[in-house]
Amino acid sequence: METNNSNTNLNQDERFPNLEKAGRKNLFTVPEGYFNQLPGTIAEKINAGKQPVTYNRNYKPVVLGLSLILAIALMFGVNYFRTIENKEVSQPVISYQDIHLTELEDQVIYDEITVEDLADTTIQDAVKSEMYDYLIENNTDISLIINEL
Amino acid sequence: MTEYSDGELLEQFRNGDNPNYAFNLLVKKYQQKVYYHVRRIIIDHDDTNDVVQNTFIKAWKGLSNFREDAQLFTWLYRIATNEALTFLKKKRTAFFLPIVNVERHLSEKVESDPAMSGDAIELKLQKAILTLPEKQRIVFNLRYYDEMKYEEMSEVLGTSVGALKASYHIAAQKIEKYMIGN
Repeated sequence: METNNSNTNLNQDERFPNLEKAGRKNLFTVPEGYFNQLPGTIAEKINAGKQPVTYNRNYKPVVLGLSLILAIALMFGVNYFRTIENKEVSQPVISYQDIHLTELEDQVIYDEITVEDLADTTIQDAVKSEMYDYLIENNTDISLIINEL
Repeated sequence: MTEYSDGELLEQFRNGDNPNYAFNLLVKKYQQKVYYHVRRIIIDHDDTNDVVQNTFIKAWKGLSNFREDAQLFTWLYRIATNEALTFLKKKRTAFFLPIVNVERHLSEKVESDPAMSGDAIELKLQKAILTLPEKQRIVFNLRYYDEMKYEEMSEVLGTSVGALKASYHIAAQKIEKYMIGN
């Protein structure tokens, strides 16, 4: 994690004054004593050999309805719904490499950048500025790059 | 309470007499960071609680195979991010919702949730963040609130530093515009 001292550029970003004005205060609150109890709750579940939950606590009626629709669809040979996926939830994590965040691959990140974003000169300036910061932070000799062009 | 380094915790977990105790210390060390990272994605406390518990249960199952070619906290963030995205995907599937409606639902929750503190400008920032596409929102939160280095974010998200920088700056610019325009 970056410390405040090594991160002055991030903490005093004059390019985004309104964002900076809003600050970094954590607005989310938790029930009293929540963090005192959480380690115990997790330990109990681990000791009881519980599998991770499948996030359907609030969705029982919906899941029942979906099951009915799915059954009818299958009866008529329709299998559009078979791609409903919960592999990530049901399979225990084995190693770092097994946690594939395919949804966050570069292409997905770039796909979220719209044509309007790219046409926005203020955004272009911000990205350029950040690229320069990156080159400076990493002591990259810009003249070497220019010579390669 | 003494705070152990990640290396000491891993050593205790693997070779100590009581791996449960070592894991408990690990949960205590990282629970708040993991919780607020997930909460910023999911917004609702009860849902976040489920996701955080799942994250640590999965970490318990995988920790003995954890290879130290990555940092422990980025590994935990990676599991937590994966769990949070899986949760949102299931929520969308369960209600046949497009992404934009989930974000709108989360934004309404920010407005009405009594468990949210903060003044008008801070709440406005939260609503602005919720207008971002899902992955851009995660990138923004990791950088802005967790003050994570791009290299660490790259470990968490498996995305290149360049893509993360572009994503963050576009997100910040959009939020800046939202703050001016609304």
